[in-house]
Amino acid sequence: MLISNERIVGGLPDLNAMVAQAETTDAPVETEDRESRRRRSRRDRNREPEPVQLTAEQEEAIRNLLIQLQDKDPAVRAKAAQGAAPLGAMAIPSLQPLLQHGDLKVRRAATDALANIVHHAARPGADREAEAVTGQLLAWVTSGTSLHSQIAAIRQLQYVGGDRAVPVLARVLLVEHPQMRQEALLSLERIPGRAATRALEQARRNKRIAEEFRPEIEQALQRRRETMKTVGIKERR
Amino acid sequence: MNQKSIKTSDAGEHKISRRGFLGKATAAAAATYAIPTLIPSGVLAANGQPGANDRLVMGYIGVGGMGTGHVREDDSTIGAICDVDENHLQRAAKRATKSTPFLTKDYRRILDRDDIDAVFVATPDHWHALQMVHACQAGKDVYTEKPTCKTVEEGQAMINAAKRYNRVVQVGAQGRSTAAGHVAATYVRNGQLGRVSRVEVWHPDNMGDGWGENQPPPDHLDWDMWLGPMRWREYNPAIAHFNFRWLMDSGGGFIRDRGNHALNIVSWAVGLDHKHPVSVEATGDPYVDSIYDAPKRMQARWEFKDPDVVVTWEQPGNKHGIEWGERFVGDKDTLLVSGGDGGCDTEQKAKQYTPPANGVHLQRSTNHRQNWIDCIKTREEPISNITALVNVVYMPILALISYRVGRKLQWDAANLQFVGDAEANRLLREPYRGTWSLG
Repeated sequence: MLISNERIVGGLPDLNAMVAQAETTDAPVETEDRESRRRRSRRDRNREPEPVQLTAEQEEAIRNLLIQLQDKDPAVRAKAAQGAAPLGAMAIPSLQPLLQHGDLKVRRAATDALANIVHHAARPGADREAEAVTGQLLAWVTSGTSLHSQIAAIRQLQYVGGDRAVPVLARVLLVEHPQMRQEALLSLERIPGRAATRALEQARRNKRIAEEFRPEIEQALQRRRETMKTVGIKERR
Repeated sequence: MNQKSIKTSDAGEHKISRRGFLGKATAAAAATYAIPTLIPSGVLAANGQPGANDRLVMGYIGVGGMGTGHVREDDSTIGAICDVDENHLQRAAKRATKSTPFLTKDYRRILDRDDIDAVFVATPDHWHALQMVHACQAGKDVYTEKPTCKTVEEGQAMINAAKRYNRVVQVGAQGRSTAAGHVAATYVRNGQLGRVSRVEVWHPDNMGDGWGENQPPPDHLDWDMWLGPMRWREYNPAIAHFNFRWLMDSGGGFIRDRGNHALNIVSWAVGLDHKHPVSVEATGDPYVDSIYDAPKRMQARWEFKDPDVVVTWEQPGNKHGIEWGERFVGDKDTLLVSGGDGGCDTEQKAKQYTPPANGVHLQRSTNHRQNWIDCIKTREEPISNITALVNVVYMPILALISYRVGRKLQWDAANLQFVGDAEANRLLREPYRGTWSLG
């Protein structure tokens, strides 16, 4: 079901209504069971992103982005996705409903917009932007309203996520959904730093990891070690 | 343990342990196809190497559009054929009239066979490095199609594997085995243009459009093996077979596809086989209504030092009356080359040129396949050797990273890293799905 442009003109879209109207076929995956949620430190919870406070100009920019990403003209959608980069973390919450839109083409435009925001935020010298984007993506993973948005966030974390993303991704390794945990593993394999290495080592030994998945974790760890001898990932700290 | 005694180029004899890719029991249980009774040439030759008159026994991995053309009975025997598509497999098998090749959907069964001397790899891009490295580990010489690889990490693994296992590896960049490619490179390398400061490469837009439809794969296709190390995604006929080229996960567009051909000629002519660019900057336009996520068209610029030359890639193509090609710009003259693959051509002035005795005389090959087969027997380096062709494909690989992150990047060739760009450095490798590994 397409959400008409008219509905979201004149104010920020009602995100809940958009979600309700979308043809939701991708139920989210619970990434944290009750026990681990209880054990998760207060500090971790406190690092979840603050609600985004937008200026009128920012609201207008995001409103236009959402309209254009749903436009029937593919050129308009593509241009909007390309131009999303500078909007940064503040635009990410508004994109989430489009990730579960009934129209594949709209989902794709929103995914492209998200990717452009991430690459822009991950540029050298933009650590605070990267941190803000990471926070929004982690929120999608842990409280995502759809599987599409969770997987999209996990994929983007491979480019921008640092140590902060590691515990969340490590938890996703425990879920039963094969694609979702595999995406988390691919992202963990790519994220630099010892935290990711340690998380993979712990996951390999974790009895709660699905047995059929354990060899993939072991191989990811091995590949990561091999990579450090050549290119890309370097251990730090 | 089966061992092969091979002669290295620099250190005499060297023994390697062949890697067993699949357990014997597994292989026996799953070998549902005809088992040939071929005697590999390595058994016939006195020193464990193919003799000059021996017929090599070949394995063919990937026999779709490009791979089918490799399946020939000229001076070699068709020993084994692999494809994840049963239709491809059966079609290619009909090309064998003098042998009954072993047929399989899993290339590792070919690598485990002692009766196969060498293999052709003509699978989609995301398989090239993995299958080439595994073939080297199994003691097979390899002809691997272009583009050489997908990532810098893969490229380094390919160079290392060829060296460590002393394998003769030819990359299917046929331009170096054409008369036009040879004379053009000879002309430029002998200073006929003066100092070359710029090379322009151009090509038409990437192909394909539309969305296809995710659906269950057809019965004749093993989709999981088609994906192999690639991130899982549902089957979509808009991807497999030919159009995988327009997805970042399995291709990268023409810049890394035919660009591998065009930039191969550039590298040979300007002398960049052992050079890396110091910077790269690329921009592009995405497909606007399509499943594909590679750019529909790209502009890229690479800067080299020593020699100081700028190479550019431009889409769309059709410049100077040529659909795709290269223009070498020197301070005395220019030279046009059309194409860069097996059908490339160049200007008469280059064709008529004969270098002086003390000039630069480049290696000569008139038949790319035969050059590889000859080199298998002599253990010499083929004309499109793996080190040169990995360096060539680094150009589009780095450009695609620059496009992806949206900024100009500085490249540190000594450390194989971008300078001061952690995100771009993450893209120098691609994590593999499942348990696939270059190790």
